Amino acid sequence: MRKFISYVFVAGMILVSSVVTAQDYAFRVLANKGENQLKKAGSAQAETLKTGAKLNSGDEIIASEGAYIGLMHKTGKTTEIRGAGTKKVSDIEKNISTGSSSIASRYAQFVMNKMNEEEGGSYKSRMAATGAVSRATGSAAIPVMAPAQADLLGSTAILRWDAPEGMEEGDLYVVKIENIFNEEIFAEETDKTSIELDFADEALAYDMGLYLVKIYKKGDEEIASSEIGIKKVKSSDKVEIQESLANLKSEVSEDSPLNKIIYASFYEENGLILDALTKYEEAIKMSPEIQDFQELYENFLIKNGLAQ
Amino acid sequence: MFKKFWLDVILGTVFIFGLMGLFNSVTAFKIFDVFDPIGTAFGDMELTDIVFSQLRDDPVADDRVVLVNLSNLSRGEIGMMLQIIAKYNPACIGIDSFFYSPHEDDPEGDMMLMAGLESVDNLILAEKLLPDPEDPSNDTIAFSWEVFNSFASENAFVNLITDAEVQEDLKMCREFSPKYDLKGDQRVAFAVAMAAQYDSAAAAEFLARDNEVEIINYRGNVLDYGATKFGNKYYALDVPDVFDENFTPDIIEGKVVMFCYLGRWLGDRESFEDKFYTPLNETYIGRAFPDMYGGVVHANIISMILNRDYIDDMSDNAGYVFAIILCFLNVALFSLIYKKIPKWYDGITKLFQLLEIGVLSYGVIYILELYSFKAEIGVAMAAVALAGDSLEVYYGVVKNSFTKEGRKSLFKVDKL
Repeated sequence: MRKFISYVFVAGMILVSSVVTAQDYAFRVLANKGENQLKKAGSAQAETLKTGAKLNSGDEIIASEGAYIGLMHKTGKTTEIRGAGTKKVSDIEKNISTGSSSIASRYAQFVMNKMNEEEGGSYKSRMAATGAVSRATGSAAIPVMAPAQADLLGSTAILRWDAPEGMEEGDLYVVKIENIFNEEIFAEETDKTSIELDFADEALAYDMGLYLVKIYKKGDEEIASSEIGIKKVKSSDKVEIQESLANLKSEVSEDSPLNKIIYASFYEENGLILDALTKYEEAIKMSPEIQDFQELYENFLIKNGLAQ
Repeated sequence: MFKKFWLDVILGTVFIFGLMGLFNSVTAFKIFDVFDPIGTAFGDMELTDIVFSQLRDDPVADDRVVLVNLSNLSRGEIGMMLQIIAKYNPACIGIDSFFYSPHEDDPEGDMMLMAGLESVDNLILAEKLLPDPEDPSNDTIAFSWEVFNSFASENAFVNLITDAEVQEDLKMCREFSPKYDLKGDQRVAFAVAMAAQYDSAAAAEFLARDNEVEIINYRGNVLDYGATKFGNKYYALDVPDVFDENFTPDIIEGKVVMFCYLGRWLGDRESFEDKFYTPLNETYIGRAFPDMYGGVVHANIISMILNRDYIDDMSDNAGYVFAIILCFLNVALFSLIYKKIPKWYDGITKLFQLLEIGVLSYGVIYILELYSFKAEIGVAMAAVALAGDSLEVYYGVVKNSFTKEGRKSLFKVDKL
């Protein structure tokens, strides 16, 4: 009997210790760069992703543009997420290799990799770097609050810029839009420091949907903005985002300024900065007296490197 | 005959080492460096770097060390961050930065930093050893401004062993000194002091090894965009993470927290301040970009101490002994071939040398990975590489020069 009790005790201890040591998560966040979010399993609402947060198999990570997230698996192995997109934790878990290989097989793999390494390849595949710097905002005479390259999902875009030094009353700006062959397809003069572009308009109809926008002072093309590339998202592109947007539209109308801010957040989360910017502009235009909207907009601009 | 054979083997071995010594003294003047771009490119590479950078099994992350980015913040902002982190009860906070003098233009900032330093229970502040290599009695030490330093529970030196003459130089870091005798005062390294706050027994065990220099057993980096294979091994908080408290408290509580520079923001690849080349660098020959910030190097040392996962190495003398024994055995074998089957000498010795160098290289890699032991085989490799041809010179030129028959045969031309 005494023997039986001791067996039961030992078995119980083993069971307890295994429960205690079992990790109650799939991953923990080691480092987190970007405005990333976590959507917990069963929750409709996404929350800000925190360093140290525990992620379970049913959760999803919504990585923002330029995101870099370091994750530690419950086994201690690590992996990382780079760039925007929604990642299921269960999918990431599948790619974690928990076993370890022998030194001989790793050496063999290393040698194989070296043997299969491509020597240079075509020069066209090695032209990712430029011998130039990018100055989308700041260094141009007319700094425009827009990324140098932007995708646009909606039909309208509002561009705003700061007046350059030396502009006097009566001076005009020219907003010129060209296609990628540098053929002018649209030009408009304005004395304001913003313009609303309607890409659904026939004047801007253009199959390829790639636009180059430049703003300059009328009569002095030297005082100009840098070129902004706008790519109109086609119905076949970014399908997941377009579906989510359709769902959002079915639940939230766009007729109130607050709802515009919701749309702005949606676009920002999905890396559609120009759409987000346009929605902020629209919300502020509808309710210019609400200071919070202005602050949200300013934060958005700073966060995305469009203002300082 | 038997005695003569072994005498030749001994003299042949001496001859090979003599040649190596001569070659070494000539190349010491670097007269061939201009013709040797490949050698220059290989100059900063060690065979064991391949193990660290390519062949190691992916190490697990270390959740006992948390790195907090200092970015380019003002003293006041650093003070605020210290207060935020300190309230989550870390085991200790180390600051891998100096604040040498008061900021006369920003006394408020200094006050805020003081408030931050005061809020930390267990504060380790950096000190910098300024050793005089020629006269240890002139060794000195530099601290942050005494008022700031008065808040420290302990000071520890942040010096690492590199070839850099000044902080701004490009630098490769493989080793560090765990302790330093400063005119009778035992100073300890920053990482050792921090590890001791978490596990004093582990730190004591490490110091008991009593090595002047230790090889760093690198584990990994922090958000490095592929600069190393293991770019993601520590908790890291960027400035907004701290101010927004965008972290779970349990990653700080009871942990070793280090405030250090990790770039202007986490994942900053353009900043080279306090950045080192390490053996983890994915490009292990002809490196172009440094891969690891100094704070992460300290974090790797802490992990090594806490894991008791040290790297032992062969002393230089043991390396020479190994080289002499290996060279002696090679000379014995090659002499046998030279005397018994001279027609096969060149082919067999070359093949054997190639095979031997391959086995030695693989052996070093295997032993480092399996037993964490770094074998010193540089001299042995050189001896093996020179053995075949040098022995031919020994028998063909040196030995013949000392015999009457040999000298005579040099001037006697047989009919064709």
